[in-house]
Amino acid sequence: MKKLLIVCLSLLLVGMFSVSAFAADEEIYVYDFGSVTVIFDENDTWDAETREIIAQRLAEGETGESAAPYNLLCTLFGHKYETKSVTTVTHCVQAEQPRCLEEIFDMSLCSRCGDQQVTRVAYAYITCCP
Amino acid sequence: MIALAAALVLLFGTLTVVAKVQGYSHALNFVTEKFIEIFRRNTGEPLEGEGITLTLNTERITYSSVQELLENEAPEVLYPTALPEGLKVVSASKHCYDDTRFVLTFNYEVPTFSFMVKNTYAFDLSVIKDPEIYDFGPCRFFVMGLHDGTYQAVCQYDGYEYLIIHNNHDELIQILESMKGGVS
Repeated sequence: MKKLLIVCLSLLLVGMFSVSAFAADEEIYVYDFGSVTVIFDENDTWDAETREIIAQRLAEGETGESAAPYNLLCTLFGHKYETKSVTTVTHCVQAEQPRCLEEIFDMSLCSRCGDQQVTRVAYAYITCCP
Repeated sequence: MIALAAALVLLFGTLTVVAKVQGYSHALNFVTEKFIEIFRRNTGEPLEGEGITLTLNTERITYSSVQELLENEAPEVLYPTALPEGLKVVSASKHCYDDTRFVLTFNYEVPTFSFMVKNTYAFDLSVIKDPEIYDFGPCRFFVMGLHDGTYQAVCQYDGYEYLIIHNNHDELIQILESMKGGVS
């Protein structure tokens, strides 16, 4: 009886863990800041903190080059950028449909000094909100 | 040994200062350019203005033309075969949301023009009030005015959704008319 109880509890714990892990995976790459949603690729390799900083920057409408800390290697050899695409959706921009603005950015991040460059590559109005 | 280190520091320091003064982002750029100038050697990199660099997740792939890019990345996608003067594609991005869904964008020098293709239908055409409708070949384009005075065309065809924005209505229609595919 005791063994059966242990097995049941173990299965329950594993099940709960699986459910919560799945929920986290589903939401981990989507960030909401007010009326702006920032979406990263499912296979994004930036860490959560970096993603959140980038998401906040994009949500605040910052594009172009950021002020990066000084790094001698970058000064000598240039930045070591890793570029990825990030999508933002600004909700209810227009009064009539299509109401929401979808923008796609190329986001470059220097792995040495953290310098960021954001370039909007395309945009469209979509029927996201009623 | 100390003298060598000091000489290297002096050399790099001088190069960095000279590079910055001459408007280079870093010293290596400056040295490479000067080296090529002196020895007239080609680095093997595509020249500026040649080729289209596609950003695909973390990779950057350079293709010689839009045609070659589509052949390799999305052969069924339609693309305008005639663009107004001054409208030139400079790069492309393929944003893969997951294993099946992606959006392909072509990036132009002109920020008021935008071209985006998704391999899913997300746009609800039924909610658009009085769109202009244009049938070109097998494609039906829905054209709508936007709040900033620009125009957007939407087309859902063969599994792909096209979203094209331009600030010139007539030129947009000409672009839609020139949309061709079948590179596969």
